[in-house]
Amino acid sequence: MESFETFEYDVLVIGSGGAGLRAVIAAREAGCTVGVVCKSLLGKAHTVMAEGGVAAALGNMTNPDGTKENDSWKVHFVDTMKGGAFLNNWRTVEIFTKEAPERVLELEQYGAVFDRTPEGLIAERPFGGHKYRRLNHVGDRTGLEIIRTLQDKAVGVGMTVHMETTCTRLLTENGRVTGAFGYYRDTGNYVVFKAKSVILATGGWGRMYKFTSNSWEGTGDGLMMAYEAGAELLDLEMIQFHPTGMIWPPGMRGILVTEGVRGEGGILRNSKGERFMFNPKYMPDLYKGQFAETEEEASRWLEDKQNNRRPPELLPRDVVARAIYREVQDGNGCEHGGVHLDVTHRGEAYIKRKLPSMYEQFHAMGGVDITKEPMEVYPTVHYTMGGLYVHPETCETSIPGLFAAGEVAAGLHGANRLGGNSLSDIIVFGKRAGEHAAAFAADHAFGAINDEQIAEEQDYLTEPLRASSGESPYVIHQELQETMQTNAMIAKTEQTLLTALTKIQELQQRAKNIKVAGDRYFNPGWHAARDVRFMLRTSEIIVRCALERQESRGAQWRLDYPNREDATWGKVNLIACKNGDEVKIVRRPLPEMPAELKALFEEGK
Amino acid sequence: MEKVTLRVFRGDKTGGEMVTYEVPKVPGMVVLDAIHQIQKEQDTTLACRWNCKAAKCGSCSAEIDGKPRLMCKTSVDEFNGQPITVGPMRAFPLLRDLVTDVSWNFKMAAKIPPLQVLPEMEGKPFVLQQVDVDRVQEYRKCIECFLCQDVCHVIREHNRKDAFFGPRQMVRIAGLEMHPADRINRREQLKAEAGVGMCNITKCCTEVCPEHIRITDNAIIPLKERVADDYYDPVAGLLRSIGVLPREKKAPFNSVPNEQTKIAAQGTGKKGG
Amino acid sequence: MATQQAPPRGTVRIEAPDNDRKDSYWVAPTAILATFAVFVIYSTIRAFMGKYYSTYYDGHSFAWMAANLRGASAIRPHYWSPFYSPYIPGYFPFLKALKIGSWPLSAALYVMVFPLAFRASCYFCRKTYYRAVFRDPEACAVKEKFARLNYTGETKLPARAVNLHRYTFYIAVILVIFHWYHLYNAFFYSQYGQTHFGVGLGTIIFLVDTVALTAYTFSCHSWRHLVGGVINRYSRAKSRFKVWSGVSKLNEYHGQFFWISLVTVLIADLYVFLVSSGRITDIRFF
Repeated sequence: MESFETFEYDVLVIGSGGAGLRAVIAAREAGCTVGVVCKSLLGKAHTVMAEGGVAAALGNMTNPDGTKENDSWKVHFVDTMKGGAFLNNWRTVEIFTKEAPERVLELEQYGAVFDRTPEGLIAERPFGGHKYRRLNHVGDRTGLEIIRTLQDKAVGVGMTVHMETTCTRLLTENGRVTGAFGYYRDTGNYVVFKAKSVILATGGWGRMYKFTSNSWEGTGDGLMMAYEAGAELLDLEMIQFHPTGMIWPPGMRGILVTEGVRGEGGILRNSKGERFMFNPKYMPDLYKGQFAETEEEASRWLEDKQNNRRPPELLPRDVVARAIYREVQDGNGCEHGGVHLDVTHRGEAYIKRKLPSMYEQFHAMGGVDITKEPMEVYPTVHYTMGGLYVHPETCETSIPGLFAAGEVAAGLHGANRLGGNSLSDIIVFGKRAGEHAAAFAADHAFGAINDEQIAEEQDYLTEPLRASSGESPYVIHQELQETMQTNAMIAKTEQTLLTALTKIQELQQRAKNIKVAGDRYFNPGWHAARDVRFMLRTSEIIVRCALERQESRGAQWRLDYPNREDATWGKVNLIACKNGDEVKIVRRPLPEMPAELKALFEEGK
Repeated sequence: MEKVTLRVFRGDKTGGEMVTYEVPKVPGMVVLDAIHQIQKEQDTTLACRWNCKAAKCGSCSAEIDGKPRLMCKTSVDEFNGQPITVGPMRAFPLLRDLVTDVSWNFKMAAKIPPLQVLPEMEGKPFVLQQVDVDRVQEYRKCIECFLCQDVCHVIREHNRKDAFFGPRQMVRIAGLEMHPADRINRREQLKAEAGVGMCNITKCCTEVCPEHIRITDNAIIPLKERVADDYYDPVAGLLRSIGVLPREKKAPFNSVPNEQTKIAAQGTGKKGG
Repeated sequence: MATQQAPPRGTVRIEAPDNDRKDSYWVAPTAILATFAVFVIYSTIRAFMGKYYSTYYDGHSFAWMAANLRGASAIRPHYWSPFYSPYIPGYFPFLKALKIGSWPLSAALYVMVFPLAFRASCYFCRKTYYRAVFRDPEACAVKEKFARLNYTGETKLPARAVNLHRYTFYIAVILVIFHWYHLYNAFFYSQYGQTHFGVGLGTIIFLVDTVALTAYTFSCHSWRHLVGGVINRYSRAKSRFKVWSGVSKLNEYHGQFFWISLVTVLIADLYVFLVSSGRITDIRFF
């Protein structure tokens, strides 16, 4: 076993996005010593990518007649449950909607500077699936504002930051987590964190898909560390596709085109020039009559929102994503396999004023002038609703001493996430995870560090360097992306999923013979070798869960089971956990919602 | 197929050289794509930092044709087929290839206390108008790419990291000093350890800022003026001492407890288990 | 183990070889340096000249009156060089007797220090001379040719004195008032001992110069700070916010105003010199 250094903390937080930093603050305020591990630099997490806003029912907005919008946690609760197709844990959602406003106001005290209403309150904007204006925002960079605020606050309360350090394994003793093992990305030296409790806030995973808005970090290592340690995973088949990711030019593939473009009148057209969202076959029964039925009405809506219905381009994300997918499948795709999103009719001056960062981004990075030409878009992997099973109150996973918050945890979003709920998710459950991890740390002493586990992991990590010959991890990654993209993307059938599963299993075999050149000193190839093995396992579980759930619900769209089966599948979550080398999947009934919450759905009608 | 020629710095603290690579050109390609292409197909050991590839995270800072820029925001088309030179930021210690040790920036940031809310605003929703927050919002657009720190000659050429926090932290302090709810006198720190006087307003930070924050005009100069109010203006000082001008109402800087956030350095942990 | 020893961590940076800027970054500082040189040489000569600063006054008497006695038909425009404004000996006549050796002290020397101080401590001007003259830095991300070991920025005297920019601004406001006074005068001329309203080329030059100088002065960063930059909560100071917003808009063009006013002030003085020394005749429009 190679030497390593050890750091000891009451609470160890893995991941320094919004959820991780909010947990740091909570644990520190409870009096614990806190260490935080960042895979990149501090403050560079995916939280910065969130643009729209943070959803919390503050009810700050005023109607044209001067009355306040009647928003409350109850309405937010109903919206979130409906949006999640009732696969959410009702208790998680209840806590979430009740606490979100408080958490947002707390951010303000920490230094976040939100946009204001004329009354001087935090400004809130409308978003898909939210009944009232509820997204508290700062222009189109709300995520940046939140992470910077939490970063500054966390630095202020005192923590120890381990930047560019990757954890690859949780250390356990008798089923309890006692620490984590990892390496420094720059030197490749090993490090062990000994902790009374550990919080995972490692975010989501999207890198196994070709079209994704995720960065290199989204490889699911936090999820897989917990899985390997025996944690239960919930509903991994639920992966959200953002309908409008760039597909062309290739340099911009996967980059999001914000929903704001459609909100400002962006039109989706297929290769025949048809505005296909008006095709009645794409209109779900649930939304019939709520959207414009003629192009004239849709364009009138831009000027007069009160007397016209919104254009069908603004249907929920999963609906639009499916429509785009179908158009391309039916042979109506444009030259690069996507559809056109056209906002040129709004005029150059208007676009530059209303969508400045979009204009700037496309102009500077892709050489695309969105005021003059349409963008070509296709659905892109965006968010993972599934993840670690956590207790709604404490955020503890099924492993004692291991807590999780943010995108890596599951239960809040169900089968589909509403825009803006992720930013409030991280602050609500980040705080809870921090508090409860601190409480756990107060009740428990340090556990023992198991040297065998460390030696095993070191051996596993260095295999690709020692190998005399083998494949490049990038090749395996690319093939994985291809198969996931073709077979397990937006529309799935049993057949495609089985194809994907076979391919993944083949890749898993090949991954045993990875070879990377160079040494451990800041070697991206070596890092990729570990990541790709995490991704293979994650992909396998995603595919297996998608096979298991024989219905279409939210983000899960099975062409062979096109209906939503509320009586059967609507009542169960899929739990995946490790069973030797196999993945065990069981159906677990959803907890029954109490009558008073059920009543909320009647009130809304 | 059209090719893009890149000359990329390869090396570490012990030395290095420019290595030439050719990658196929694809439409809409940015320099970061070209680097990824090299990493994937030619040399998996090429080290670079990146995250979002959408100019939002500020990770892929480098020097392209000698100018500090974000690799993800620099299109290869603008070089008209000429070789593109890509090197690491030169104001920070090199780790490997395009990656530098930027931890100094975080250490300086840790010396700046976060917002300390005025007693009358504490614990309740702020009631502020948009005009109250407009100015502060500009500073908060910062994505911490540290290109301004890299280009600042005080840090880069004179290596006065001991006396100046750098433009990024000036922007940060400006966002706190001008925050309508902050109660701390930040000018003490500005004049002393943060070293606002080290800046000679040559505006390179403003030139390289990918978020187009007008760092010099809107952050540093107003801060210099505020420091001048307190420390250099003899008449104002006199008027304050005889009570014509109001004295500083904000709480002294040292009233904020220093909680000591550490940016852990390698080799500082216990050895072994 | 297949790994190599990692290089030691240190604090010394390595110059990435051969990554210099490829553009002509040296053009701007060189051009600025040349402009400054021209201005300094010209204004030094003019400052010590001590004459030809007015078309209607020669330092002892109002020349146009004398001219009126000699040849009454000549048009005497009322132009006064900005370099000699305000005319201090006019208010303190004993100064006229002061001499250096046999050389009468030029009236410009009493006043020129003020616009000089205003410009020298101007935030925009500081940028240009730090770059062009001190090469500190010459251009962004360019290796400094005379990198000093102990750079202190503006924390030590004399550079520290620039913190008093606001005082030079106050004086500049007084100078601007005199500019407007001279502009007013420039709308008149004398003939046959009578004063008439009229516009010559000099009037136009003065108009442009006065507007440019006013814009330059009131787009000053210190002024921006004084009118409202110091406020943190604008909703409680609405009128100052309006002024501050206006000055902030102007301030964005402070650099442009700096250059324009530098050139116009030189042209204004040159024009006065040429007319009063009889080298050209003022072009009259009416």
